[in-house]
Amino acid sequence: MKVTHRIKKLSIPYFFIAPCALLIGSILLYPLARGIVSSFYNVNLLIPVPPKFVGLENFIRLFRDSSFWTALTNSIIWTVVILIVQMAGGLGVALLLNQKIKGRRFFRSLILIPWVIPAAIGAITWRWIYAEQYGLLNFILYRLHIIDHYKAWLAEPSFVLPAVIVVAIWKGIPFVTIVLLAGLQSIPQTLYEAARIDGAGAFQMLLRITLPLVRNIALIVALLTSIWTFNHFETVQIMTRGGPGTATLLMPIYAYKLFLESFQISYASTLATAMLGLMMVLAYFYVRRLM
Amino acid sequence: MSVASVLKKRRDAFLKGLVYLALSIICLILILPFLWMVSTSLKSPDEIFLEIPRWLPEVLRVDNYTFIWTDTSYPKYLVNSLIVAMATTAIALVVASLAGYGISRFAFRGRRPFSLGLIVVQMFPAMLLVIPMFVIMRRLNLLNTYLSLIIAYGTFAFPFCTWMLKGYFDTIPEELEEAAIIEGCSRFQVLYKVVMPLAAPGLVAVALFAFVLAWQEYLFALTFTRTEEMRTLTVGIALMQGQHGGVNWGQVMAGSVLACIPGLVFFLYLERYIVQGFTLGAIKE
Repeated sequence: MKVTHRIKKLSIPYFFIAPCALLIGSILLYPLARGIVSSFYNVNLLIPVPPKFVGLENFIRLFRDSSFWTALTNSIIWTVVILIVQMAGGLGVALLLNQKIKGRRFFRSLILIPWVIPAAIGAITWRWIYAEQYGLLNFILYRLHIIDHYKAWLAEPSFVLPAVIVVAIWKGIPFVTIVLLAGLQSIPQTLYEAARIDGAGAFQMLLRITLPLVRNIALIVALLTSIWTFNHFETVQIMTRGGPGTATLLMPIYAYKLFLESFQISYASTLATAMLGLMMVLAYFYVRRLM
Repeated sequence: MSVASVLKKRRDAFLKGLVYLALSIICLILILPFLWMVSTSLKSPDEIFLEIPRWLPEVLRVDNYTFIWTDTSYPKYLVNSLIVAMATTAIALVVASLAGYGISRFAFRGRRPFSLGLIVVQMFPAMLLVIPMFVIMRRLNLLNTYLSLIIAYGTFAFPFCTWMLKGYFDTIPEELEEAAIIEGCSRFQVLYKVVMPLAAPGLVAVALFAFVLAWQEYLFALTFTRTEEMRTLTVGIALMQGQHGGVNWGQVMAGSVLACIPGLVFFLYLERYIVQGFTLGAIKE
């Protein structure tokens, strides 16, 4: 009797996590495994041949694929630039929001607006703002004499990548700001008071107290946003579809093209698996931080 | 008052003013696109396509809002998004409260890996999931159905909600539950009768969070919905502006403003929970 009672007691937690674990296993892990396995086959929905195991052929083809390298380069530029600007900008705004001013909560609420707007909707609105003829941006820049004629921001290869990067930064900065603000607010005021008594200036306090103490949370938010930024699809897809040409071709966009425009299921999976590999490297550092 | 302290007061006031100025400019830039969205949605076509854009239309028109309702498939898109988002949220809440409670209250074998796993799976590229899921859905004849989207959204909703709720349950003291157990309640009863009522605010916040995530989703919706009938809002609006030749920007913007509503509701009433939610997820307890 005692043994069965003990078994029952020990198994209770498993009943609680069972639905979640089973569901995640079947709807997430199973397709994931199939996707990775698929990259070793030759499935192409437009060429109906029985699937054949082709080993590393797809990966070799990927290495030789110039579009892959273009997409990888663009994705790295995309991720790094967005990360740097978001972190620097986010920290700046967080520092501002951390000051004791009236209406602080009001500003903090307004900051969140880009996060609240769906990414797809934001992309659509920005597309309208970037429009060549009647777009708001051209008008403002022209009036401020920053440009001398209206530009087609999303159609000129030299402007398009920065243009979409701006949109991604706009969308992502609220998250970074709020998390960094939380980090700033957890620094005890007494440290600053002691430093002030010792004669420290504002800049010194920033460098010696603030930055080291937000380092941990900054690293976490940096890793998180890098991963999300790298995997981000809708903004570029809606604004440019990777164009013009391959100017904004990012890894997810390329995978999508391979998948739904030419139906090369296996090859697209290969690309996605490569993306996963990169993510695993980043995720490793994130998990290490959390432990 | 000494000269030094007067000067210091002046300097402080000046700096405060600078902070206000900087914050105002930054906030203005951040909300500008949204304001422009609303402004465009209230204009008639001849006011939208102006050489010199105007912020406030001379004639406020709600035509865009009415036409998008009557002349397009917009209502259908809205209903689809609603159904999928609500179903996803409901299922996620049930699954996640059970699992979150389990992780929070019990120290069981596999707890650590499971918790870590919840975080790690949220980082997988959605693209890697979409492709095999598409193939599987196709084979199961589930393409273009609500179920396919609900399942797909579960892939992020379940881990996310579980992690959030686990963090939330952690903040609820266990004494009440212990008392209930002593009185003979089973663990399930404890969760249902004691903890859930206490956790109501957190549940509402997580539910809304999950709803908004499902509402905003684009990639799976784009891939799985194949006909006009089944499209969700994000995909529908994107299609409306993706047409070549004459995009009806007024209507597209009106549709966009409406699509922002759940997010705005979430934001207005639960602003402090959003902040809490961000920090819960990012800071280790």
